[in-house]
Order: sequence, then C-alpha cells, then structure tokens
Amino acid sequence: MEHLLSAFGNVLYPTNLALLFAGSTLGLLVGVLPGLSSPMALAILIPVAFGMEPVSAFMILIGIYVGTKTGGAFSAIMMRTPGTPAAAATAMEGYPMAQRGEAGRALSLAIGASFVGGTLSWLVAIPLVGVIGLYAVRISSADLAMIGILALAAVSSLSGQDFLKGLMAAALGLVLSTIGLDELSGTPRLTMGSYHLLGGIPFLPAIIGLFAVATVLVDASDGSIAKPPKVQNTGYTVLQVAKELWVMRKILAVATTIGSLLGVVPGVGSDTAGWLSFAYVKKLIASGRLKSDRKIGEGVPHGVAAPEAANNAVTGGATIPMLTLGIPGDGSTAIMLGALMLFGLQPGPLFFRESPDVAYGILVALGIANFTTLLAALMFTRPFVSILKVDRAILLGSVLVLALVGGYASSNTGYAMLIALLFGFLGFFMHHLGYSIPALALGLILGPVIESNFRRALLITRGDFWVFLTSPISLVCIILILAIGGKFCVDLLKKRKFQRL
Amino acid sequence: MKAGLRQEFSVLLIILAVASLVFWETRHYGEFTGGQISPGSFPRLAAGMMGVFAVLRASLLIAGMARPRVEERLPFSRDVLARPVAVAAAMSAFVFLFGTIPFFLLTLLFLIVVFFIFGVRPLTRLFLRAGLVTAVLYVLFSQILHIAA
Repeated sequence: MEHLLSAFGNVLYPTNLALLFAGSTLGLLVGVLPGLSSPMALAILIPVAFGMEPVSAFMILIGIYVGTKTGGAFSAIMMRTPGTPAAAATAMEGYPMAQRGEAGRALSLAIGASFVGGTLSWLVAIPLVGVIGLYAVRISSADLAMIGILALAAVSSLSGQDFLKGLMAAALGLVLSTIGLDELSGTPRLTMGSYHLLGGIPFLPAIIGLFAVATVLVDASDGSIAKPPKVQNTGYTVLQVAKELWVMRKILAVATTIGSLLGVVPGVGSDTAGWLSFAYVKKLIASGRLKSDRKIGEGVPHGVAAPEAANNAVTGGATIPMLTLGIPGDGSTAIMLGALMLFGLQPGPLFFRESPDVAYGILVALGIANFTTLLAALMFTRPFVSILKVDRAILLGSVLVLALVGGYASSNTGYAMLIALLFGFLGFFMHHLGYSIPALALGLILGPVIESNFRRALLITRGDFWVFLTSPISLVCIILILAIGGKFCVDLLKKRKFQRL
Repeated sequence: MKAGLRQEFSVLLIILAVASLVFWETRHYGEFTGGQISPGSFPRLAAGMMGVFAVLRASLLIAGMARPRVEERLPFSRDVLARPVAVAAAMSAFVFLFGTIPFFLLTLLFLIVVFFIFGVRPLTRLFLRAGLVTAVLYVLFSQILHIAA
C-alpha cells in the first residue's frame, strides 16, 4: 500500500505530471492523424525518453498510449477515417452524427466515454495486479516458457490474418531473437561472421522499422496521399455530454468490461473490443431493449460511446499481463515492455518487488493519464480538428526522418539506422503479403524470455521434458495452444464442407 | 489467382530457405546432453517450426483448402511499387550519407525528394514546407537532443 501511495506522490509531482500531460497531448495528436499509430509513436519516442529517469520516461510513453486511444475518434467522426484501428467502430455512428451537424456532440461523447472506460478499467486493474502479482512469484520457468508460447499462438490466431502465416511470422521473430551471443555459453549464433550481429538484432530500431518505416512505405503504395481531407465545424457542451453519458451508464459498464477482459488476452487489440461493443449496441437496438429514434447507421450516440469506452478500457486489461508476467497484451504494450528492458528492468513476477517505484509508477500513471488525456482533449479539440487539414505527405516525410534518426539515436551507430531501414522493408512486404507484423515483433521480444525459461526448466529437471506437462499452469497453456490449433482445423474443415456444397 | 498462388509459393520457398540456412549455420553446435541444451537447439526449434508451418500452408494450398486472398498479394505494377521503391531509395541514401553530410542539408534534400515523390505541389509550396519541417527537426535533433550535427 505504501508503494502505491508513494507512486501517486511520484506521478503527481509537477514535472512528472507535466510529462504525462505532454505525452497525452502527443498521443491525442498521433491518434487524430490517420496513418500514425501508438506503436509508431512509442517506437520513435523511446530513444528520446531514454536519457530520462525510467519513471519520467514512462510518463510520456503511458501518456501517448492512452492518448492515442482517444485521439483516433476525431478523424473517425470528422472524416469517416479512423485515426487508429481502435476507432474503426466509432466511425460507424460517429460520422453519420457529424453529417447531421452533431460533430461536437459526437466528439464530446467519444472523449467522455473514453475517459469513463479507461478510468473504470484502471480501477479494476489495480487490485487485480496485486492479486496476480502475489501468485505470479510461484510461476516456474516451465510455466513462463509456455505462457510465452501461448501468447505467440494467441497473437497469430487473433491478428485477423491467416493463422499459419501468423505462426510463421512469430517463428521468424523467435529465430531473429537468437542472433548474437548465446546467453549461457557466450557462443556466437547466426552472426554470419559479422561483428555487428554479435550484439544481436537491436530491438528498438527493429520495432521502429516494422511499425514506422513500413507504415510510410505502405502508405506510399496507396495513391491518395497528398489530398487534404474535408473538415466540418465543431462545437461541444461538456455538461450536456456528462448528463448523456450518465443515462448510458449500463451500456458503458458492459463496454468497459468487454474492453478490460479483452485487454488481458494477448493479440486482441482495441479494435476488437470496439467492434464487439458496437455489436452489443446493435443487438440492443434490434431487440428493442434500447429505445432510439434513430436506426443503426443514422447516428446513434450509443454507437459512439460504447466502442470508445471499450477501446480505452483495453489499456487497463493489457497492463496486467505486461507488468505481472512480462507478457504484452498488444503491440503498444509490447513496445513498452521492450522499453522497460532497455532501461535494464525486467517485468514479470518479481517486477513489483525488485522495481516497485517503476512498477507502481506505471500503474498509477495509467490511471492519471485518463485525466490528463481528458484535459488535453477538452483544451485542444478545435486545433486538432484543424490539423486534419495538414497534408499527409508532410506528416509521413517527417515520420521517416524521426524514425531513421530515432533508430540511430538508440545506439549512435549507423548500423542501428540500417536495421530500421531493413526491418522497414521487411514490414512492407509482410503487410502486403498478409503476414502479421505484431506476431513478428512479439517473437522478437519474447524469444529471449521463452528460450531462457525453457532452458532453465530443463536444467533444473536435468533434461526431463515431463516438467512441461506436470506443472499445472504449463499444462493449461499447452491445452489452450492445442485448442487454438484445434479451432483452426475445425474452421478449415467447415470451410471445405461449405466449398463442396 | 494463379499469380497469387505463384507469389505465395515463392514466399513459402523463401521461408523454407531461411529455415534451412538456420539449420546449416547451427550444425556445429553439438547435441542436446541431459539438461544442457546446446546453443543451436532453440534456433533450430524455431526454424523447424517455421519450416513446418510453411509446408503445412503449401499443403493446404495444393489441396485447395486454402486460397491466397486478393488483398494479400504484392502487385508488381508500376502504380503500386513506383513510390515505395523511390522512397526506399531516398531512405537508403539518407542512411548512407548520414554523418557524412551536415544533418540540416541532408534532411532538407531528403524531405524535398520525399515530398516530391508523395506529390506535394506546386514546387514553391514543396520547398517552403520542406524548409520549415527541416528547421523543426534540426532544432529537435541537433539543438535539443544533440543526436545529429
């Protein structure tokens, strides 16, 4: 309890609070602009934050993480183009509302619902983190190895693309993570005689390449870069929206629950939570349990509030496995996990014991970030909507320089910049060919964790592979992995049967 | 469809080649001896899984139980690839000239080229915006963060 209170004091310290607000504002801006994403912003800013104290650095990163979830709604409502995938469902009712002249109302609902979803999810996450943290120390090496493999299987299965392609991407990430000196024996592995590869693939430039450089290259292959969007007028009343959200409180509670639960599951991102919540609202209207003078597609306000509450609620859920088990819940938490490791910290079962100031600091920052994001959104709604007029070509060109120089800054070598470039090319081809980039990134991050725990488990048991079946958590993970594989086979057979008919 | 299949099989062959390369590179690490996993074991395990998944995918394609999706194909057409290739060339030049040419000049030239590729017109607008963005990035990276000179 004293660590939690100390963390509040730390986060609410003026400098850290200012950094959190700055991160929220930047995250909001990144979320507003289509084509820019939370993983991209985090990857580019880590080199910048690297020179700070870990707690201060994470104020910015957490601010960005939470801010992007809210910012995505802006362009979804104004232009029917979600700023982030998380806001895709918001566009369904948000844009029709804007077309009716209710852009201000839609934006305010989105901002308010995001705040409610994120804050409630955080309030639930605090005690859960404590409970899971208590049991997490009893997790063995075999369990951790299997949890890592389950996370990779889940991401591959739920990334929306072909399952086998996701698994191939994850396996490639694991292979790439083994490049360099072996941890136990010091033997060079897969270095091809290169001096640079002795240190392995540097994580940060690789992530910058996969998420930032690749995105720009993919956008370059799309023909519609230099056209400025049409922006409508805004105007909003905060008190009216607060009243409206109170009336929707039951729907918001359900949406928040959906988001929190899905956030815990690796690979299920905010976009899934948004769509599930939207589907829930649709069902309520269709069954008559929700009275509305508008049909779905005509600008139902609940269709804006529910997805936004759900996609922000994912932040609380995703933080639980990241901090307690060292397993990221989505792409952004995967990058933050990498950032923690760059700072020499090891998230996992012992994180709260070994680094309580950082661990509790991140937990508290996650909740306070909802407030700073709300404040930033209320202050900057009009300017940010105006920014939507900026030529995307300008933004993308700037992102490229930020990405490449950010890659350089991670180790002050041209080699790091080259890695960012090469992984950018890899990400471009993976995107077009349908291979999951998050699965590759997770493989890269979790590879060392899985390998070291796998080897440790076998060292302890002197080579007895039964340890993976006799340990309860490991056994459950194996069953779940087989269930994921089984579902894939069943879907294939169903598809084949359908084709024959 | 045929072009999509050809492309998919080509990619799967590349994946199998990468897996084979990993096995070749780790051939001299020795065997697993009771509790002590050799340094080559985990890379081989991961590469082996990658190869197995590639073979499975190829089998499903051959059996007609899976089909490449239209949107999961890289169309080798000028319209789609010209811009990314040009941007990639510009980025490569940036990476190799970084540190050799002053940051301000390099960034300005890079942005002029990239904005041109992305279709920013007329040229006066292009040069103005490139100059403005360069100034902001120069202040950020050279003056504030002291990363580039």
